[in-house]
Amino acid sequence: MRRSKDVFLAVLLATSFLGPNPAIATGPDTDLREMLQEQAEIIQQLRGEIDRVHEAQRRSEDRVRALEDERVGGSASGVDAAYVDRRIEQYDTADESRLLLSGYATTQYVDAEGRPGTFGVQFNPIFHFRLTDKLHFNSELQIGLEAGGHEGGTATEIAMEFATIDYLATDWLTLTAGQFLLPFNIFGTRLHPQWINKMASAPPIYRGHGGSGGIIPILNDVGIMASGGAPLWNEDSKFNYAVYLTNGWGRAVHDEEEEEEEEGAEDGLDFIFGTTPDLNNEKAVGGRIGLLPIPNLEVGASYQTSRANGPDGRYHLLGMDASYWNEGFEFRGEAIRLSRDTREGDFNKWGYFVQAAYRLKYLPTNGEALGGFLGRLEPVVRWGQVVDAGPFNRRQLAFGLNYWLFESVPLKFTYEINRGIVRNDRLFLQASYGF
Amino acid sequence: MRIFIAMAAMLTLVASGVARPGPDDRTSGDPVRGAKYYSDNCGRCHNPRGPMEHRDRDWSIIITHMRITAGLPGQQARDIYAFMAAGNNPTPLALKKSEVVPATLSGPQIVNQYGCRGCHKIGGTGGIIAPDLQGVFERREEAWIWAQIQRPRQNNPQTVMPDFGFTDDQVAAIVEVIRAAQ
Repeated sequence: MRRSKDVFLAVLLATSFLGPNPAIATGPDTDLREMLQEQAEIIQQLRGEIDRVHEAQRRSEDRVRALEDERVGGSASGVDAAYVDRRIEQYDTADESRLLLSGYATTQYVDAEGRPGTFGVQFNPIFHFRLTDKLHFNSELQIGLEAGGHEGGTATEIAMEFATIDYLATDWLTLTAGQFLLPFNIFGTRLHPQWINKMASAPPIYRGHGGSGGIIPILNDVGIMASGGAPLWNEDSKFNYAVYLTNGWGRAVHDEEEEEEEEGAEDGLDFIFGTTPDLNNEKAVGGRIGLLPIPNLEVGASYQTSRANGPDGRYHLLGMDASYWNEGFEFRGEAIRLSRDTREGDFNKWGYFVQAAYRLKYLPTNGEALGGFLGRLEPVVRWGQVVDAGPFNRRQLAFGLNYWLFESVPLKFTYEINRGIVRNDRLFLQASYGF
Repeated sequence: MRIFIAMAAMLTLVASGVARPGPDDRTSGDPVRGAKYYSDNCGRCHNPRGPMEHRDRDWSIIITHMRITAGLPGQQARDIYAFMAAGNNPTPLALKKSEVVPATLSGPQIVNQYGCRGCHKIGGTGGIIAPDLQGVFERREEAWIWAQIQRPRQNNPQTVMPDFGFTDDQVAAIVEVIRAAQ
């Protein structure tokens, strides 16, 4: 193509400089001669421009050859192939956003026995910021509504679920600092978001997130953690682990009237499971190890110990969890035991829950014979018990039916039958969206 | 307590320095292995999400967050990312694998190479995240099955199944493997 252009220009120039055409020279119209001279000047300028373009192109080609040489086998400058690849990748991804917003939102109607039915809403934005491929910042806020505000109205409650800086040290080790969900069992760390939880409420052993009473809340605290996972004997088996050191527990200080109203103030035990600033110099130490001998089965054991401020002894929190899932069937169970060394004698609270769910689209007919609507349905049932927890002792049978509008958008119906000191049945209608 | 914290910090720093750091999270994943790990891991806690729900760069952040939350080994997280990116990419995956996969493979070899059993059960063995292919010829027309293998998004635009860019001969070989396993 370049050669044909050159030939064309050469012919054009040659015809332009062959000398005056006798017919024109002798003609009366000298404007035509001037026009031809102008065209000749323009052509000269174009030739100069083309030469400059050719020179720039030659320099670019030399540069590309040099880069390719570096990539193939290194060069005299010592630049290796990986470095060149990295530079190219950096160039390709220079305009990538490093910030990502994810999270979930929920709106629900709760009708609890003895209380007026109430609509509610909750919004949990999660901010992810990738500083480098190995250094990430993650934070989740929980924004909800609570009683209070002006003249007994509604106030917006904002809480921080976690805010961490995570360093991916190796394939098997991540170092975390900040406030994080404590890896105690797996409901708190992985399953409590409403678009993931198969039930509209938390299991009876947990407080908050739709749960009431319970033994512990969804635990979070401020400190440092080492966690990760690694394969075991084959590609189908692996384990995961986490060990952490956090500020630890405290005992809330209330006046007597306030203490009676405070949730969790039973037996004079009003715990704060994560205190900032720390109320004493006794940090909480804990961890969890999970084993997956086959891909569908995970069993885990968790432990945490801490000493609260005040005269109490050391507290021990022990947990066990198990999960099994296969072709739309999911079974989960968790157990918790909370105890302390005390001069007043033994102190034990314990409880457990088991839960099963089945997504109808995985029926042997593949759901197709059932049609799209039935394939989106998921019945779920849960049984749980809390023992030796004073007024929070209870047995719970809950059942529900979920309709998955999309794979991250469940519409949930849940009914809890709660039997304890008082009867407290609850009905939930909930829509949630994970984004 | 100060001594304990100092020792813990030193140990973790030493461990992170001694252990060989893994390669960058977006460069060394294998999409075929990723199909299996996607099937094994993501469904443990929540319904699997389709690759087209996010852009690749967003998946790289989300999957890293999931790696930290669920304790996934780094290589498995990278493989899952490669699978999601492949499912998100209009370029058939076969183009990327053409250098390592011979042009002529038998049906069973193709099924193994491309990790079909990572997600599907074929002849009673395989993953649980995608439909069991037992009885699929009774449920679907063969033309539908053919299209699902060769152009997955033609049947379901939201499918997580990657477009492997199979040729007609390869599709025919895969179909025969599935038929023989009935």
